[in-house]
Amino acid sequence: MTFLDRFMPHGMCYAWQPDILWLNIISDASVAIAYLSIPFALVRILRKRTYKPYRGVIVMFSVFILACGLTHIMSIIVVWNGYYGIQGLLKAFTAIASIGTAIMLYPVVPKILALRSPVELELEESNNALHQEMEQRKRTETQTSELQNELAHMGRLTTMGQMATGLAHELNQPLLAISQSADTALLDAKKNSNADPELIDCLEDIQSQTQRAGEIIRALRQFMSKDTENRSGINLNALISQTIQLLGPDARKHNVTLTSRTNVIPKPIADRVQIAQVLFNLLRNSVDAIASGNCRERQVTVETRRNKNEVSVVVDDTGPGLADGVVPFKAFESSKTDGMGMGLSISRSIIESHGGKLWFEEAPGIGARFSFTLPVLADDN
Amino acid sequence: MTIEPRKVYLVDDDPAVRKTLRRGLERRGFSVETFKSAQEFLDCYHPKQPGCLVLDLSMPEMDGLELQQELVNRDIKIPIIFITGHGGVPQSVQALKAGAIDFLEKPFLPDSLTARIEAGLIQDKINRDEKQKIESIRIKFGLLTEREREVAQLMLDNDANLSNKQMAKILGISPRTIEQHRSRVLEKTHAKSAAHLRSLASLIGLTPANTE
Repeated sequence: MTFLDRFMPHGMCYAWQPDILWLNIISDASVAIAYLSIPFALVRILRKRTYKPYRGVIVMFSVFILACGLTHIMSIIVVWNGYYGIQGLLKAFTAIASIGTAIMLYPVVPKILALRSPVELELEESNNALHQEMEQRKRTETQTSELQNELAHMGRLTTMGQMATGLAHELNQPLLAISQSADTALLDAKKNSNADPELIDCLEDIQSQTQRAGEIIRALRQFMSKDTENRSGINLNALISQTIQLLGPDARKHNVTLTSRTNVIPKPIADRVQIAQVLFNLLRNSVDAIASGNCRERQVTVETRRNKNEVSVVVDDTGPGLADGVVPFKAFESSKTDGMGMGLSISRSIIESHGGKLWFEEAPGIGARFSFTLPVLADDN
Repeated sequence: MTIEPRKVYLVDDDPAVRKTLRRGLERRGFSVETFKSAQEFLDCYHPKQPGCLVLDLSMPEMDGLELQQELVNRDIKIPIIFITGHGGVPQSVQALKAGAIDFLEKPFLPDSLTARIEAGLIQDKINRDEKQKIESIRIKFGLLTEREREVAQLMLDNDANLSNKQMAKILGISPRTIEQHRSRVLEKTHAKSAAHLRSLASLIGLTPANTE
């Protein structure tokens, strides 16, 4: 007898008793059919899905279950034909496949447990989208708040500088008057031959000290106006939308709509933060004007345009316009109760230091219009 | 005191500056007229009046530079000395380019202003003399009769140095009459020669082939 020879059929063990025999055969057949059908289902899944997680395990499982199915078929065969050697080999193969599957399955279990249902997946997708949007918002917010910080910092600097400049201008007027008066008095005193020399000395002191004060102011102003190295080509349209962002909360509070109508414009060479400061000043003035004016239409529009050698920015509002007697751009003069009267004066100085112009006109319809220009290179696109 | 009134027009929006500058300048023998805005000056000033303009650079509404531009537009050539509390370099360059005498930063010493005003008044005198001279030439040329003007035009055009005979042929009159017209032209325009006539004519913008 060799290993693959036919032995006594297994039916003998059942003593060919039909009930036991058929119970075993039908059960084995049913199990085999079930087992053999499972790999087809699995293969189908693998074929249809482009995304194939745990492919190895599934293949291994198919082999294992196929082998199991075959052992049950073998059990039926041996009822009549006693190929127990072949049956043993088949069982050994099944054993290897089973152990292999078991080994492969264990590390995968936690991963499979972590797999999400389609609902969960959908939820995750929308979660991701939300997250991205939050990121985007956060970025914009960061940009805006960076600009705000820069503005605040620069604002303090320029306010100092411009207060000095504004102050300088305001002070130069009385200084000139003092100097002139001292000079006239000196002229008169010197005509008088018996004038008190002390008086003449006094007047000469007044004269020379006013000149000295003038020199100090001049030096201060030169110190403040040195700052031109921060200039580069700036994206004015982007700066406008950032400024609008920045003023958003304030505008919403007063129910004012801020809109921009930007056109394609070349990049003027300018100090970004200084120009942002001008935009901020103009827009906030407009918002404040509308807020204080109890207006029906509450709209501020910023428009950029390209002219020949310059770009212009026009800020229109539907506010009440300038009050009678208010001179715009004059330092320390404000129609606001809490205003310092430096905003427009600073803005104008900034624009003029860039070689542009800033001016006011009554807006067509109702409200105020402030416009400014910045030069651009003629061949700049 | 000089014979001509040394007139200074002062435009500044600050009353204290107007008052003290006027007083100081008057003590120095200038006759001063003050204006509180560029517009007021434009409304009151007559170009015939000689003088020198002392002009504040930064004023509300029309500023100093704009007034200067307006004067250029109106062909008014009054010398301008800018005074400013701002001392902007770009503005000063623009002002000087457009013909300003100087640019003084407040507070300045009165003497530096008066020196500029003196220079301005001299400049104004020169401008006016020049203008007057041109005006008188224009009047003299206006005295020419139509025929004399034709002869004068030929004399201006005369690159080829036309003889009386040739001119007579062109105009269809006798050489003798041409001769008479020529001497009348020189007499009326106070020109010493044809060349002198040409230089006078060029002063009033008369060029060859353009007498009218």
